[in-house]
Amino acid sequence: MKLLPIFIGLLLPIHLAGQYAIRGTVRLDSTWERTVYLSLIPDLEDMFRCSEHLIMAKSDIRDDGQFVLRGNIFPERPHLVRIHVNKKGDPPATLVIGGKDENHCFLALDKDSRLQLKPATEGLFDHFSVTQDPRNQALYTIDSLRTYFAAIDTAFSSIAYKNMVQKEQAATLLAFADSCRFLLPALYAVQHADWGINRQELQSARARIAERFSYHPYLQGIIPLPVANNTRPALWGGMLVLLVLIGGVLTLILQRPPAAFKDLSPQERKILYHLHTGKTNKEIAGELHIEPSTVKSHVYSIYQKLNISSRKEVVKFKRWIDGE
Amino acid sequence: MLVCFIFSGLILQAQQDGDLSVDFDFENTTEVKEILVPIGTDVSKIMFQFSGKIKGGSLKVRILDPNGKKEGAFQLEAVSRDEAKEKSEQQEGEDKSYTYSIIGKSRSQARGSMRKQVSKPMPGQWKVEIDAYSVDGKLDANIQQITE
Repeated sequence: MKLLPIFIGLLLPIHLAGQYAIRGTVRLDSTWERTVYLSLIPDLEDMFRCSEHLIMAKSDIRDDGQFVLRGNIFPERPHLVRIHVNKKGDPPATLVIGGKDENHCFLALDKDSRLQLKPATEGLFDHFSVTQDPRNQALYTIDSLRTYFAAIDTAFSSIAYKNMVQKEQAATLLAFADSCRFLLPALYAVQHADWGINRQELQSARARIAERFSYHPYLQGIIPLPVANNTRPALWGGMLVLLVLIGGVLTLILQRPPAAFKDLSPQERKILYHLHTGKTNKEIAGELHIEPSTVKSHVYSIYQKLNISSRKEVVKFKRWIDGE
Repeated sequence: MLVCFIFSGLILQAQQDGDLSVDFDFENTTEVKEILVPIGTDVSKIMFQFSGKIKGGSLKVRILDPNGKKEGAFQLEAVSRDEAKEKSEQQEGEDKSYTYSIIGKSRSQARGSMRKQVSKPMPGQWKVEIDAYSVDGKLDANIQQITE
C-alpha cells in the first residue's frame, strides 16, 4: 500500500499530459491544410495580431475533420486564444477576417480548460461556440449584443442616430461588465464599449474590474484614476460651488493634454507609462507579454504622435501619464 | 481604377464617386500612411478589402469611422533572417514559461486579409491607417463605395 501514492504520482502527469484542452470538428475541402494552430492573445487589443510568435500549439486534423489540441503549456489564468487553419501554401501565421474563408475563432482558455467546440452552422468555426463553459458563453453573449447593435446601426445613416446607437451599445456593455462574474468577459465587454462614452468612463470601468478581480496580465497598464473632483452642489454652499467650478475650468484649461496625446492608442499609453518609469523595450515587452519588436514599433509611433525624438522627452507628458 | 503606389508618406484621398485600389510595396519601410475616404449621405455601403503578405517587420491596418471608432483592424508581424538570429540569442536564458512559441527562433512570414462591409455608413471622413515598421512585403487595398 505504501507504494500506491508513488504509483499515482508517476501516472498522474502521464494522464494529465494526455488530456485534451480543446476538441472540435472543422469541415475542410482539399484546398485547406490539415493542421490547426492555437495562438495566445497577449492583450485584448491584439485579437487580430497575426504572428508566428503567438502560436503556442498545433495539431493535425483527421480526415473526418476532428482535431484535439492538447498541452500543459497553456496559461495559468484564462486568456483569449485564437484557433485557425490555413489554405495550402500559406505561412503558419495567416489570418483571414471576413468572407467565406474566414479561418479562425476565439476562445477563453486556461491550463485546466477542457473545451468541446460546437460544430459551426456556417463557415469553419463559430466564435466562442463552446458547450458548457460559462466563461465562453459570456463572451458569446457579448458578441451577440454587438451583432444586435450592429444590425440596429444599419437602419439609418444619420450621424445623430449612429451616435445614439454607439452610446446605447456602450452603456449595455458596461452594465454587462459590471455584473459579470468572470474577469475576461468583463474586460472584453469594456473593450467593445470603447465608443459612445468618454475615456474617463472607460478607465473607470476598467479600474472597477481591476478592483473586483485578482491580478491578471490583461490588467497590466490599467491604472486606477485619481478620485474625480465630483462637485456636489447640494452639500456645498453657493460660493463653494462657484469656486469649484472656476477651479475645474482652470484645471481643464491648464491640464488639458495636447491633442496629439489623445491620439495615442490604449496600448501606446501603457507603453508610454512604462517608458516614463524608465523601463527598457525588453522590460516593457516582458511586462506586456509582447515582442520587443512590437514595443519598438509602438515607441516609434508614440514618438511620431507626440513629436518627440527620445525617451528623455517623455517627461514632458508626465502630468498626463500619471493621470492615465 | 488601379493605382500602383510606391510608399512615400503622402496621404491618399479616395475619389468620392469611385473605387480605390492601391498596391503598397514595402522595402524595410517605416512609415504611417492614411487613406482618406470621404463618405456622403448618398453612400449606402462601403466595402473594404485588404490583402497583405510580409516577410519582415510589423504592419498594422485600421479602419476608422468619422468618430474615430475602429471598424476593423489587423496586424501582421514577421521576423526577418537577421531578427530571427537576434531573437534566438535573446531567448537563450529567458523564461519561456509564459510566451511559448513553436517556431520562435526561425525566420517567419505572415499573411493576412480582411473583408469589411459597412452598410449605411456614417457620413463624414472615414480613414484607413496603415502603420508600417521595418516592413518587407506588400499590401493591396481596395475600397468600394456603393451609392443609392
